[in-house]
Amino acid sequence: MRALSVAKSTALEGLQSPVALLLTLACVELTALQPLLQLHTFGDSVRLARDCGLAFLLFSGVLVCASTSGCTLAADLRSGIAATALAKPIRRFDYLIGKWLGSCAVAAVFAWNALWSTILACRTAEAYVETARSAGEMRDLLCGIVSVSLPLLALAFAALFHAWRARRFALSFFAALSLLQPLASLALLGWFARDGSPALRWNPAIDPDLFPAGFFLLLLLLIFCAVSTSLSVRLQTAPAAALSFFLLLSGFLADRFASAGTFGACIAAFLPNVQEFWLADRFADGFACSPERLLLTTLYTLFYSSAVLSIGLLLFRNRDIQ
Amino acid sequence: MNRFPMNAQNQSPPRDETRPVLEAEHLEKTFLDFWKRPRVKAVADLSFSAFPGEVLGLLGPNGSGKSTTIKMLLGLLRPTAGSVRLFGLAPDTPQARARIGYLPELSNLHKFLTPRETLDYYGGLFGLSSAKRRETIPSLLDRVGIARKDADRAIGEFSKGMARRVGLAQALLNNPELVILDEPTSGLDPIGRHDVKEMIRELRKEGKTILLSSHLLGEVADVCTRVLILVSGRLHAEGPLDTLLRQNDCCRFTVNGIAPDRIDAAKAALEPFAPNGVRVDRPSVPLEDFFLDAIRKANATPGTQPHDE
Repeated sequence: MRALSVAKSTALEGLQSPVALLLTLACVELTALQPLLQLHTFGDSVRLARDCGLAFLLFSGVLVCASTSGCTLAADLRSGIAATALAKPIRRFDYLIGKWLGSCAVAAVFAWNALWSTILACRTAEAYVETARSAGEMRDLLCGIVSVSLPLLALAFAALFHAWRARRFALSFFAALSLLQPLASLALLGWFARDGSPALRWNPAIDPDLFPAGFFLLLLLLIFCAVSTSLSVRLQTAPAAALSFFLLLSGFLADRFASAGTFGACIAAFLPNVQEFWLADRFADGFACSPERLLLTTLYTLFYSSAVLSIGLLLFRNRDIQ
Repeated sequence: MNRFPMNAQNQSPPRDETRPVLEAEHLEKTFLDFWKRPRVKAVADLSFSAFPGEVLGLLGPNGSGKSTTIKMLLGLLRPTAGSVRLFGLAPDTPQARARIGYLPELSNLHKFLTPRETLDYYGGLFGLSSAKRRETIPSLLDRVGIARKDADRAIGEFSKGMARRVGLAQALLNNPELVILDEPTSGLDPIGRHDVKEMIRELRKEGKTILLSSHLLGEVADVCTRVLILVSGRLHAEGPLDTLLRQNDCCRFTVNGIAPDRIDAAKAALEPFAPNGVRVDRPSVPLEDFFLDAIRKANATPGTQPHDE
């Protein structure tokens, strides 16, 4: 209950920070624009749009999580907000877990929006279309225009709510975008063919692989949040973020370390195996994500995050709170 | 009108009035550098206690260890030596903290949350049910002087004084038995200061124990029953305020309605009893009383509205 209170306030605070809004906006717009700006795709336009979208999700997500989990906790400890909270009957364990859960909620909202913009981008990208009149590579320009416009529409909604109903801008933006993107995707992909002609029946042709791919990246972001939160209990914002990035980048090499002798295997055991979370390349080779793999990766995320948070708690337990 | 009457929620169990609420014994705090070498000794051999219903003032210049002492009392800083007991319990136990209200030196609040969300958050940390929070928060905001239209504005938009009022509200959310106020009037206007002093008196009447740290000596003199004076982390003076400040070889008469030409005669009549001389002065109204009176008169005049902070 107390951890949930901390989580709720962290999520509200994180979603309203200008950093989260700007990064989400940048990620969603870049994802929407890139299929319209592709020049040399070698017939792999959809794959390129998907990979770019997922890459934007990962790297913008890392920045969002760094600003939410690491910066928030370090700033709370520095400014005295944590002291006010920890003078209440809450255990430090609950406080730390609450901070992590709040960051996870922000990561989930971000990933949800980034994933739907990737779905729209895949539809916008050039693909071979055969109609009664013509056949050939075709971009879905209608979808492209809609997906570029949706974040701007969400901003306009937020501005209206802010001006008329005094609702908070960033929260209204996230609420509007989180609703508009899925609704627009389901409507566009279901009711219109790629050439813009209306479909006879609703049949949304969404690449099913995108959902596990996005979910796995969200799991990776949750690990990053745990690392960043745990480091922030002792380090300032910049070193905590830098170390978390270093750990994440080292995680890309975990497989290499594992095959480089005993010492390398020991290092690999402590690194998050980022390759396991990046499914985009595997889908290109015809890989299908099984429920077992989904479950195992989720368990691995929970185990790794728990281990990292336990270390964070050990560091936090006897820390002087100024 | 007193804007800070305490609500009757969470009525505390009957207490032993002779048992200290707070006990600090030989407290010491030395801050270490990165290599664990002693950097600065903030508090040294500090012992004191506070009893139910007492308003204990913690005085001292900047860097005298007042805030460090308070943080050790709350279990936020670990003492290098010595011990703290709150209600007979260790200070970092949830049972002890559930009975404390703490207002930090700076109102450290989440700037993107509204006062309502902030109190909801702290209410959650106190373990209050959502129904209880919904019932308590509006009345508490009203009592600390946060207007209804401001309750849903982000705290980042508030003035320092308004944020201070939200900080005060969070310190009273659990109807605490021990209230620790670190510079409670910092950033408040004279009306706010007056309200806080009234609140402290009201809390004292209800039998709460208050530990008040302040730089403003007049403020401490107005409300405290006992003071501790810290200098360089050491206790230099302690005792009831009337004992510490009383001048036993001196007394003051206030003569109301005396004609100016009779003053010299009155002075001459007293001189045989005063080997060190008689001083005559005209008492002045404290500026705070004069200011509050002016505000009251202005508010009573039709067409004059008080400014929003």
